[in-house]
Formats: sequence, structure tokens, C-alpha cells
Amino acid sequence: MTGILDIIRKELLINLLSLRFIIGLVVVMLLIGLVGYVLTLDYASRRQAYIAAAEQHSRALEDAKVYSTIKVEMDIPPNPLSLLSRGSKDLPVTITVSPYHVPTILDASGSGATISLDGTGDLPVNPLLRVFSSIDVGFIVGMIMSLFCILLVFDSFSGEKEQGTLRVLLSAPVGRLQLLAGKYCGALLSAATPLTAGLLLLVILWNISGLVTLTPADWLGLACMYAASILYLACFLALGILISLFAEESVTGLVHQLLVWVVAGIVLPAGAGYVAEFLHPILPETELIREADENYGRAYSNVRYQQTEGSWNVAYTDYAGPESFLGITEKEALNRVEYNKIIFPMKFALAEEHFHIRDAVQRSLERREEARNSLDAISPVAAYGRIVRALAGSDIGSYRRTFAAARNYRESLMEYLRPKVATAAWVTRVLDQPELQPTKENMSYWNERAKKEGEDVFLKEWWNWSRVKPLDLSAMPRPNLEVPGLRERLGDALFPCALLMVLTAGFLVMAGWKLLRYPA
Amino acid sequence: MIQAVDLTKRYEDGNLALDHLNLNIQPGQIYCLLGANGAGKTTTINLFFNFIEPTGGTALINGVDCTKDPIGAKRHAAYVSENVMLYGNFTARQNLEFFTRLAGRRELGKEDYYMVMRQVGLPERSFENRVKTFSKGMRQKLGIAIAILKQAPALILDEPTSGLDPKAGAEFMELLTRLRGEGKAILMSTHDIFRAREVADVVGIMKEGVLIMEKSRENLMYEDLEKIYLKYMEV
Repeated sequence: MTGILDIIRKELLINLLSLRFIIGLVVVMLLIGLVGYVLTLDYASRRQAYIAAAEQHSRALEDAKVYSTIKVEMDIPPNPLSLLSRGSKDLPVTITVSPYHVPTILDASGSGATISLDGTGDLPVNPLLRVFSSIDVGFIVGMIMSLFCILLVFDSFSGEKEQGTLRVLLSAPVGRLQLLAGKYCGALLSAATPLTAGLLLLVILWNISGLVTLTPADWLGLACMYAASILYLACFLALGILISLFAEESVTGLVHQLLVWVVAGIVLPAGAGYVAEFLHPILPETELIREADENYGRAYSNVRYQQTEGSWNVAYTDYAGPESFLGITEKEALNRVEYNKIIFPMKFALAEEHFHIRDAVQRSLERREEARNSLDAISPVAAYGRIVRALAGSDIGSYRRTFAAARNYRESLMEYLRPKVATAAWVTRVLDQPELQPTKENMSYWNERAKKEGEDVFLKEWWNWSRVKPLDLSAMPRPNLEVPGLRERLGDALFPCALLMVLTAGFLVMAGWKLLRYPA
Repeated sequence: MIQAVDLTKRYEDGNLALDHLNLNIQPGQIYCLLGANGAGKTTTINLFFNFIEPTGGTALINGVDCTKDPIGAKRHAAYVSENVMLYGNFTARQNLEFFTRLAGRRELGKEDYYMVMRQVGLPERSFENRVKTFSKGMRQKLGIAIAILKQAPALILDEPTSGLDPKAGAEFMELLTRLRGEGKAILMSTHDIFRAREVADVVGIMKEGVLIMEKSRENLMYEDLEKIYLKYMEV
């Protein structure tokens, strides 16, 4: 054991004194510092936008005057850990829940064809972005630090052999596996140094700026991300050492390792994406939606609203928009109630149908995602990307759960709204406020006033919407949008973590096997 | 102390590098192994340090089988190669400290390292200099300093004087004589017949993996080693 510690110390010292380490440290620190700074500002603005939107949406609900226009905007609070892994760029910050719309993850992009479930948003627009997703700390560790690991260990054994130091090392009473363990741990400590320094720099930046406040769960998430990053570096180092043992010369080893890096980091994830797209084409969502709308249009025309008696300046609309004025009698309002009982369930059914279509599209995207994940499963870069996105809550799994929560909320909202379907529309509010109806008494009162103040009084006061009282929504269920907690996020990260562990162990076992037969 | 019993090595390409070698080097004895390039000298040394595995026979150091218990065997032997290569970015003292600690001696302080470096003739000013600035002679001296500090009873050297200037070579031989005086068993492969004659207690000549001649100092006293060597090489 003491021999291993001596080798670790030696490896660490040699690395720390080397030019490649110093360059790597500076590059990583600079990149993490710069990207961290930019993303911190971005997070601060997203947080501000979230607070403003949440306030505005809450106010909008307080002012609601008719049930047909009730639309609940559920704002997703930005996760501080998304600073480390930004994840999908085209996923929404607000989920709209309304009787006419069942939220799906495809809402953000508007079309299933332009959304990817692998965390890289604008894929089809620019195929290059399929490979390089958001430039964030996860990207720096995933791509830049893996390259740094390669530079650290590409000559781990071949270099010692070329220099002649391997024979001196092996003449000491130290086992070959101990030597491997010492060199590996030394390299891991060396690789962990820039990562640790970079993350510390980031935390200091957050503290100084005061723009990011972490909860204990966030700190724990950050610690998990750090541990996952170390595991990732450990995997790449094990792979690097293994290649170094098979390489006849250090230069050949470096070339092989760069090749493996390109394959693991670029070719496999990108190639898997293309193959998955080919294997699982997306359903023609737009066409199906149009078809559903046409069917609805035909059904709607069969139940077109028939006005029973005259009204003043009433402009009816079929959707959630306000009818112009309230010059409507009780009889006409009751006629409208009967109509509403037919038309609103049809609207709700259309919303459900839209959801089923989009859900099917979502499922086909999920199948594509699964295929992609299986195809690039052996790439440590892809596995690491999944881990950090899951831990940061910026992966598709977290969004899926958030949308599922939003749909659950919609169910309870619909339970509340369905009984009110008859009096959902604007014109039916005259039933609650008889003073708005054009009864004889009301008419004579307002005609008197019009004589004195001019006819504007009808528009400005009597039929003005400001006279309609806001609805009492105290019994309406309120959204409680809980973003997935750390436990759920850890659950999502578990499989790729286990995969990285298996890969690392596999590389190390192979390296040990090779070293025992390695000619000094 | 250093023993080979029917030690044989055949490489994967079929080349028989060592054929049933038998050696027995006692404490306080210097054994010089002579032979042309490819005679099997380095293969013999490689087998003692388990750098490669034998295809037959046994290599023993202080009675410990070098194949079955390589770590145990290496505890009793120190190694100096033809071209001692150490960590260039480390100073002489740091290299010495690393390899000595690796050999299990952790109790030593800076002064102990300096003392041994003085003993092998390294200039005082070089103790804290990076090894990448050292000449070959200085590196060989540092290699022997590592071997001395290991305090192993057996010393195995692979052409240690090759490439050294005459003065450095003479100093090196002087050092070996001193170590023999301390009771070390020394196995040295060399091309240098004159140095071998000067210090060896036993000389062995190898050809194509076979030990074709072995003579003690007494037997060589009145003979010309160069002639004997050339004669055996021609056979």
C-alpha cells in the first residue's frame, strides 16, 4: 500500500510539473470561468423573467371574469444546477394549462419535427449542433477535460518504457498491479485538480455576485455532479492507460487515443442520432391535427348557435375571446347556456384529441431517444452527458415529469370547470349580474343618463367589462408545480452512472491483464 | 545468493535466448558475464527481475523464486542498467528518495541521501539539480546510489560501464569492489574484458544463450582473458 502511495505522489508531482498539465489547467479554468460567468448572468435573467412571469400570471388569474378564458400558466423555476448543464434549449419555461389544451412536451417547439429528446435542441436546423449542444460546464468536462485526460496518460506506460524508467520501476519490490493502481490514482488526482479548481472558481463567482443561491439540495446535487465528473474522468483515464499499454510508441498511443476520443465524443453520439432518426420516423403530427380540426369544424357547424331574440351590440365568438358587449337579455343568456352545454364538451374533446395525437408523436420521439441511447451506450461522453443533464434537471426526463404533473393538474382543473360549462361564456355573466341585462327598468335608467351625459354612457359604463365582477375562484385548484427533486434526478442518473462504472472497471481489468504480460 | 537453475527462455518467435543456464553467485563475489550482443546476458538479467517470464528452470535471489514471488525476490536485489534512466523533472535527491521509498526504506532523511550521493562521487552542487541536466556518468552514479540505499544483498548490473569515460569507469569499479567488501553478491554483464578481469571473482562467457565457459579469478591469473574470449567466440 505504501508503495502505491509513493507512486501516486510521484505521478502527481510529475504531472503538476509538466507543461501539458499547466496548459490544461489554465485552459480549463479559463473556460469554466468564462462559461460560468456567462451562464450565471443568463441564469439571473432567467430567474428574473420567471419571477416577473409568475407574478403576472398570478394577477391574470385574479382578474378572470369568465370560466371560458381561464388559462393557467405554470412557470417552471430555473434550476441553479442548469448552470452546469443547460440541457435542451427549446424546452419551455412556462406550461400553459387550459380546458382547450392538454400540455405536452412538444408545446415548446410547436412541431414534433423540430424537437429532440436528447437534450440538444435545434438539431435539424444545424446538424453540427447535434454534436455540440449547449456550451456549459458539462460540455467543458465532457469534451475538453476528456481531451486533457488523454494528454495526461497517453504515454503512461509507453512513455516510461521509451524513457527507460519502467525497468527501474519494475526492479523495485512493487507488484505490477500496484504500479497500475498508483499510476491510475496519480493521474486521477492530477485530472481532478483543474476540475476542482474550476468548480471552486464557479462557486466563488456565485457567492461574490450573489446572483445564485443554492439550497442544501442544490449543494448535494452539485456534489453528485462533481462525483459523476470524477467518475467520467476516471473512465477516460482508464481507457487512456489501456491504450497506452497496447501502443508500441507514445505517438501511436496518442493518435489512437485521439481517434477513440473523436469516436466516443462525436461520431457515436451523432451517428446514433442519425441512425435513430432513420429507424424511427416521426409521425406526421401537423396533418393529423389538421384532420382533427376539420372534423371538429364540421361537427361545430351542425350545432351553430341560433340566436333567439335580439340583443344589443353583441358579437359572439366561439372560442375563449370575449364577446363584445353585455347587451343581452336573460332569455338569450339562457339560450346560450343550452348551447354551451353542447359546444364546450366538444371543445374539450378536441383538446383531448390533439393531446392523443401529440402524445403519439411524443412516444415516437421517445422510441427514437431509446434507440439513440442504446446505440451510443458505450460512449462515456454520451453517458456523462446524460448524467449531468439528469442531475441538473435539464434532461428530457425531468421535463417529462414536469409535464405529467401539469397534466395531472389539468385533470383537477377540469373537474372544477366541467360543472361550470354551461355558464362558461361571457354573455352568461349577465345571469350573475342582473343589473347588466337590458331590462325595462335598466333601460329606462340608462336612457335617462344617456340623455344627460350623452350616448357614450352605454359603452363607457353600462356595457363596459369593468363592471363585470371578477369570478370567485377561491375553490379552484391552484397549480403547485414541483420540479423533480434530487431523488428523482438521481434515479435518472443511476443507469448511465452504472454504465460508466462498468466501462471503467472493464478498462482497468483489461489494463491489468495487459500489464501482467507487458514486456519491460 | 544469485542462482540460476537450468534457466531457459524461448521467445514467442521461437528464438532460444537462454538454454539451461546454471549460475551460483555467493555473497562477497563479483560474477562477470561476458558475451557478444544477443548472447543472452540481458535476457538472464530480465529473468531475475521478472521483466519477462522463463520458459523453463528457475531464477532465485536469496532463495526466493523470481517467477513465483517476484516482489519477494526483488526485495533482495538491486538493479543498475546500461543506461540508467530516471525522472528528468525530478532532482537527483527526489529520484533517490522516490526509488528508496519504493524499495521500502522510508526512514531516511535528506542528509542520508546526500551522504550516499557523496559516496558514489556525485558533485555536491548536483544534488538538487534536475536529472535531465545530468551526464550519463552522473546518472550511472545515481543509479548505483539507488542500489546502495536499497541495501539489497544482491546487485545485478547490466553493462553498467558502457559509455562511461575511463575515469568514471574506474570510479565505478572501485565502488563495486567496495560493495563486494561489504558482502554483496554482484552479477554484472559486460563487454569490457579488462574491467572484468580487474574485478571479477568469476567470469562466465555466454554464446547463443549457452554459458560456454566459467573460470574463477585463480584460474584466470596466468591466462589472457581476451584470447580466451576470442577463442570461444570463434568456436
